[in-house]
Amino acid sequence: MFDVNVSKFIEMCEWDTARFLIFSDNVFGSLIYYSHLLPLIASLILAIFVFYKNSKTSATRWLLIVSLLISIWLFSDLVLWATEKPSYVMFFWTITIVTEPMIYVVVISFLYTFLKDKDISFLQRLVAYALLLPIVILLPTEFAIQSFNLSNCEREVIEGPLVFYGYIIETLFILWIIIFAVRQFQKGINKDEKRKIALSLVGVFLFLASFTLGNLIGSFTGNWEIGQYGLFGIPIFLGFLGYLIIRYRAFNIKVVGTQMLVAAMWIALLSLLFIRTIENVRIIIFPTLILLLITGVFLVRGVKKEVKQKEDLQNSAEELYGKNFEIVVKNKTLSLLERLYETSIQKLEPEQMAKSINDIILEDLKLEFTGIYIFKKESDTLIPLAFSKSEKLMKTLYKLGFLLSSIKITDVSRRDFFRQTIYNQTYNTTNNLKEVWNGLITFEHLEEMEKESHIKTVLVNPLIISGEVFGALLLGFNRDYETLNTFEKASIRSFINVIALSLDKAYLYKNLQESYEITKRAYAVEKKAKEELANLDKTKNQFLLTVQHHLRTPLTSMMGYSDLLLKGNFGKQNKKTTEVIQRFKISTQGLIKMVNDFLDITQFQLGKSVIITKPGVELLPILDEIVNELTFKAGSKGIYLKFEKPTENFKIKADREKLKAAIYNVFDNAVKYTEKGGVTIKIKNQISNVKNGENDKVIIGVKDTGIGIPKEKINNIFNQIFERTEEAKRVSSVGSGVGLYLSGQIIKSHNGKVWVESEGEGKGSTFYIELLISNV
Amino acid sequence: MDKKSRTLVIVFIIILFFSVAFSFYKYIIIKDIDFYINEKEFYEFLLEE
Repeated sequence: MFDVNVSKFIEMCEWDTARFLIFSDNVFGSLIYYSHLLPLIASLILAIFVFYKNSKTSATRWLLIVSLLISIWLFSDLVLWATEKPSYVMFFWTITIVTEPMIYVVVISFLYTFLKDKDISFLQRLVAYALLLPIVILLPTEFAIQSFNLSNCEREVIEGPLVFYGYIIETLFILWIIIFAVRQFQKGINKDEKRKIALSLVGVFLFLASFTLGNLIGSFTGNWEIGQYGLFGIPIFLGFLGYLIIRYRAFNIKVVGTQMLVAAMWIALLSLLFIRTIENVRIIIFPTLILLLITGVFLVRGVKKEVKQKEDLQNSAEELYGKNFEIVVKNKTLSLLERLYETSIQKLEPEQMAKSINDIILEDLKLEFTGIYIFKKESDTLIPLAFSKSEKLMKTLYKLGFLLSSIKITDVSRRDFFRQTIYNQTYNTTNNLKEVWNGLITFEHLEEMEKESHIKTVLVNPLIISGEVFGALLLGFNRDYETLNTFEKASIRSFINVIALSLDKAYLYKNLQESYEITKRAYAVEKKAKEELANLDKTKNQFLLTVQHHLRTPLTSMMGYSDLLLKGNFGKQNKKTTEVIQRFKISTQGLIKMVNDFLDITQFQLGKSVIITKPGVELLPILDEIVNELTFKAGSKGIYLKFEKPTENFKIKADREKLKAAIYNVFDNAVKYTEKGGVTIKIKNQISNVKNGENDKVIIGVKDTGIGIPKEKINNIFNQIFERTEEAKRVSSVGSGVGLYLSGQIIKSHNGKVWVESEGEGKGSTFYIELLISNV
Repeated sequence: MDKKSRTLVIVFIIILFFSVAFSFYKYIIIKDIDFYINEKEFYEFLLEE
């Protein structure tokens, strides 16, 4: 309580008791004071609204702080005018002293962030706060307020030197703003930007001029009533700033801001009507009020229309941006797929390909790591095929002293994170590194890695081919997987399929190459073996040729000597000796024939031609000769040899002697292996289609009732040296098995055919020889 | 806002808070107020009113 003397003076002033600090009859011109309440609330709502809509920009944050400080200042000012308590006057007066210069500093911060998109520097802030510091520190002392003035009943204080210090630093702040404004204006690139700067500065100066001027007048003259009109600068200032933010930052709140501005100005002007002391002002204010009301309505309508247009424009722009973004992501995906495709062509080894794929994805998606693993079902393990890391992660791992690239992920089916991917074939994500490498890396390392690295999310995707998971792709993101948009996720899905296909191709290539190498080696071995065999065969044939040639010469001599003996050139031989010589001659003849046969066969096998054909060779005489030669042999065996001779003769192109030998072999063969019945020879002329350029053919059929030929040997009888059957050996002890083979070769050399038909052993055979008729 | 600036703002706010709190304590709680009264001026004022 104050002393009695002071209380007496206070009582004499008859001040009204204030309700809620600000409502009392003590105020000058009630309506003008309370009209400040509306702009105060409006400015607060506007600032909060702008901040809510644009909370990420520093400018809106500073605007909110300016509004809060102005609200505190206005509220304190209202209390000063309404309260009857000196203690409240003293306290709230100090509040106005401290908030006033602070408003300047915050306005500077706002201007910097709004016009320059950059807050004031640390040094600038330090200077500003250093200037504010004396006011803040000395606020509760007599330097700020010396005493409560009871010499009149105006509830005033006697201000200390700190207030005047405050005016000095406010002037400095104004100078700061002017210099900054001029510089920014000079830097302004286009008209729009310059207008923005100019409007901001007009708003700030209107506010500062009206706000500061009133206080200066109050401080120097003691007339605080004039200062109240200066407070109208506050809503104007906020309106300006609000408009600017709306104009340049957030169009959707323009209507609210404009409406608030119009309402605040209308209420402020209306309050002037109630000022008794300025009678003449009413005449000017009333029509102004009407005009403002009308313009306000038009302004709000205009702004609404503009906002709608701009909203439509913004929606279109957003839609366009969305589409553009989609195109950009699709383009990026395409480019990535193209690079992956190129890699899949250039790199053929799975390891090399996986490494290249990892590097491309890591770079393109700016990942922390990428790992391609191959799943081994039998050991339930994911084995790393290739692993790539960002530089940051590489440094972290180097610091921690371990590698991620060589770690095999074992017990896949027991790890929740991988089980879903490998066995359910779906992707999985985690923000917890322990879920990925738990038990494979020490807990401490995992903790440190989580702390030190930039890995936020790990994504695992199955690599599937033909419905089977053959591996997994592990991706480490430095952001949450959920922050990826739909297109980015779709992009990942598409390149995973490409990776799976590329790797599958690489493995196929690898397997193919391995098989190819094996085949190549086998082929080389076979080739060598063939070459050796061919050499061997050639050597063998050469050897046979040499041996036979050397055999034939003495045999021919033996034949010659036999003939000479039989002719009696060495004296007359007795009957017994003649018989022996004849047998000797026959054996030698057989031997010569055999040697000749072998010689011919060898010549055929060596690819040497032993046939010299001549046209116009008559066939029937050859057949007659053979039949005559064999008739005695057949008769001696008790079988018949029948030749059904045709009426016409056939001329063929042939090596007469060789062909005769060949046909002889066939006929002789029939006689040799027939024990009962006999052999019938028939000739058939087959006339061919002249249009096709084919020649007429003659077919010689030799049917016997002999031992027949087993079915399994029938096809090879003319193709290889024949191994005689047991039955054949029994029937005839003579025979090398080469006769028919040689006949086949000779007939083929005459462009003819030879074949045999037999029902089987003991059922006889029919041999056919087909030769081309040559009429030339 | 960088780290240094943020520290500066926080320090400033703390000083401001204590200063305002002390003013509140001085003027509102203990009512430590000096009154200046010029009685002659006061009565003249009353007469004018």
